[in-house]
Amino acid sequence: MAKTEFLDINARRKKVPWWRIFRNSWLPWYAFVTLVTLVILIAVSILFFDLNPYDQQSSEFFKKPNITFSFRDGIGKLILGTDDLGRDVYARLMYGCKNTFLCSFGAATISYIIGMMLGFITSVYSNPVTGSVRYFIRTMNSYTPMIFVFAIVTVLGPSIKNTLWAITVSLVPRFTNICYNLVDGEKKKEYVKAVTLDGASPFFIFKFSIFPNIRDTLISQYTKGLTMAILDVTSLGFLGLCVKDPEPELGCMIAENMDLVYTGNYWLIALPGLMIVLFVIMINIIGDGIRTSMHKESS
Amino acid sequence: MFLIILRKIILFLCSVIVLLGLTFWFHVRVKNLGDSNLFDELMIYLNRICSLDFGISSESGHKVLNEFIPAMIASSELVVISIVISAVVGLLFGSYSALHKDTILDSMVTNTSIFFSAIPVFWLAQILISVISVYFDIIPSQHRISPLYDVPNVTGLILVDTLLISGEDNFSSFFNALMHFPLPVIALSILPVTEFIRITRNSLYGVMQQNYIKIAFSRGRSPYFIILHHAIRNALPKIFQQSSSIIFLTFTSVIVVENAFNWPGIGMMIIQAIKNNDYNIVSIYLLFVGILFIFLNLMLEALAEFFQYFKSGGVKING
Amino acid sequence: MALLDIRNLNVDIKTPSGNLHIVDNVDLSVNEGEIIALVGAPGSGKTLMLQAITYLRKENISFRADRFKINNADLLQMPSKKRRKVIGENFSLIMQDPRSSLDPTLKIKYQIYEMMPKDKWYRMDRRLFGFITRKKLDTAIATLHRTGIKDHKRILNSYPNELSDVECQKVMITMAICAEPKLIIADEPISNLSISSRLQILKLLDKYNKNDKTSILIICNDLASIANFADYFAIFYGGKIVEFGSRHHILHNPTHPYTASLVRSMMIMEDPEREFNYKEYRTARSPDFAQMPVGCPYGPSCRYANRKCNKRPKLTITKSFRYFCHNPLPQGALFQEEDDDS
Repeated sequence: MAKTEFLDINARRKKVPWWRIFRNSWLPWYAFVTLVTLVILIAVSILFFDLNPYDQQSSEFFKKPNITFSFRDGIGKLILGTDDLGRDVYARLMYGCKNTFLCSFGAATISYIIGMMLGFITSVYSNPVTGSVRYFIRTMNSYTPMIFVFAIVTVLGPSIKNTLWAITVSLVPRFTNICYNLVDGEKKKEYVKAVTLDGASPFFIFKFSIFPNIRDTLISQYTKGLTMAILDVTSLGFLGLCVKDPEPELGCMIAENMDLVYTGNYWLIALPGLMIVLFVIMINIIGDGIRTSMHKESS
Repeated sequence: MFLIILRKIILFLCSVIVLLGLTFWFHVRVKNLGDSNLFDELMIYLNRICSLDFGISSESGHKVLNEFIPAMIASSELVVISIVISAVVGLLFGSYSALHKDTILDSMVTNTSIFFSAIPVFWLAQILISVISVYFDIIPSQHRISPLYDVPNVTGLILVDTLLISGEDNFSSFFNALMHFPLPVIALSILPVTEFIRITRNSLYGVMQQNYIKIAFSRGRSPYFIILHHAIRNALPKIFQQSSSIIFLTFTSVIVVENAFNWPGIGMMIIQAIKNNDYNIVSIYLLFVGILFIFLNLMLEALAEFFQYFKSGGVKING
Repeated sequence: MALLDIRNLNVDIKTPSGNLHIVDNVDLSVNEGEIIALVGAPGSGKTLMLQAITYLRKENISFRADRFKINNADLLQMPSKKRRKVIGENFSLIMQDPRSSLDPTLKIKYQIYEMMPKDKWYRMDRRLFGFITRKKLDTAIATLHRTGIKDHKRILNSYPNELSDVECQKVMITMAICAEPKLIIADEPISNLSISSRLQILKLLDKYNKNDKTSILIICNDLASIANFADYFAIFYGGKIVEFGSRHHILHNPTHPYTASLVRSMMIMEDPEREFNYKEYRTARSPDFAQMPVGCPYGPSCRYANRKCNKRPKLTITKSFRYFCHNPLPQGALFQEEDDDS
């Protein structure tokens, strides 16, 4: 087979069905299952249960969560209680999760795609135009993302869409930088030189020699970017820059209920924080597990 | 070497120009242009910047620069203390983790650091406040010093100021100010500690695989000597390179932490400004913090290259 | 009295897919003033054996031996601190790549001082650079002169990446000599150097051996370079010592077929006018340790293999040499090889 002579050893793996990707490690698999369960729970709660996060009933505020429940008043008021305005905490939690995670997921994905494409282009085609783009992005990368976020959100006003664009813009330089460094590191290796001498087109080199070797790093960088996006969105929400008031969002909920902790209603800030921590940890573990199992496959 | 410094200075100037353009865009967007030209506005703006007149805060009516500098000093006190503490703790734990790699203790350290890096800073601050300050009532959590004390504003750094008047009240204000530090510092330095652990672990583990360490071991030297003498010296450059991103990460978290703890620094200032649509403060914040970041970045890179240059003697022989 | 005495050394490597048994029942003993060369193809377990002996790479190596003594001090029973001290006093290492064996952040002189044995008077040697006496400086300069470096001042005050490869290797040898060891273990010290530099280094080691009665254990891929240097040769193949004998024995009438092929390849290079049929020359590659052949490891690549070779050979020990083969070559077989058609 003439084709395989050109291929790098990493590209000659046999195909593995996707559910066996965590074969040797139990922790990422459990994290994956838990994550999927939570996502399904949120989706089902929003779509099928009759939840209303805006409904304020002043007769029923500050109900603590309790375990026995019946379906008379609705699930949330009895499982997770109500907050200071009588709103259903469970409903706010579900809708808040939806807002936060959709926003951060969208920001991470869009910035990942744009950043990776920019990284590839500036790395593969090196001429003065791409060189200056690369210089510019490297400078932007040395700032912390928050500066741009503040600048954009200040000018445009707080809303979910503006937050999404702001975080996208702030994550693009990071992905571009990572992608550029990866491809640059691979370009110098011997097997790429060998394939180039054989007369391969840039696309061929990229697909068969460079890409299989950076695949695992790319995926783990995506998960890291996703966690950064989640933490950024919630930080902005905490500072009050994310959503308008009645809309639930995890950071906003923590900020609003900050003062209520002093009177003993700890669950109002414990639950949103717990959701954030759970999601971030599980995404981290899954990303780590994917990277480890991809490493094991190729080595 | 001078070429490198020249490149960095040019980079610095370009970035400053971009930042000025950004703040000018703010300025223009807010103000009504009226009859005057954009170019004239630019000239007026640059003139004002050169004379360090950044405008008047629309909320408080004072000069922006007079509000900004004390806030900056107060924030930098917190940031510097927390970076130093997190560097020391992170180096210790990271070295321990690297030397005993793949044992139970190492995986405990790594997993704990992964767990802590997932906790959002503001939530951690809230938990610290509610558990330690409210429930157990050990340490105060709001502001820099108890409002009972009247501390003159000499340098802006609260610890130094309380030390200056310590003769009058027997260090009580100093201790009070010191008690306000632990909670914000813990909240602020958890994330840098995890980053330092990760970086130190990777760097030190790579160094320990080198041949000179093996030869030193086979000479019969004690491990502590080898690590102090050989390993850490070679691991430091790599740690140094990545520490700039950690410093910037701390600058980001300080905004959130100051809001949670009501610490009068630039974090509080900027959030109030954004909520009140006070664009002058926002623009000076962007300008100064941006310049500070670029400057720190350039200095760290130049320092690393400087040491590299002198260590290698400047001349390489390909043999 | 034997300086180093090892019996039945077995070394395993822990890989993610299980334990690989690499070095198999190796015996080695070094006396004072001897030079022993371990020869074999890369990947036949020589470096692993050395790493196991000096306790260097502890994480994924496990070794067991029946006897492991240095100067009659039994190392298997010792606590690790004392063991480290004993190894440090008696051994001195020279590694393959001279550049990576020198600390890039320290000047050469500090690295040489560090190698010197601690004087009993100066307990302040616990400080970072130790107590640097005039005596240490003089010893360092004298040793550098012995290794052939004349401009010691420039070398002593420079950093490792300013020196060329040969100078680095000479500095390594200086460091090894300054430690005043009883046994120098050299792990392929000359493989990275050009042919002319190899002779320099070997001459130095030989001079040191003659003058100070230090034993040398040298690992080398290339039999041709150390043919006139070593007193005894131990040929490695597939993790076993397939032959061990004196120089005369190995070079003139080897008994194991693998040794014969090595010596023949060396002779081809020495005497190019000899007619040689390249088509018949088969090289033996190292066997894959995960799938060792049953019986003799050299079996699949051996010209004289027959059905007996499916069983594990016995180690035959005679007065002056040992071999591990079912069909040892008779005397004078080396020169008869050439005329055979096969």
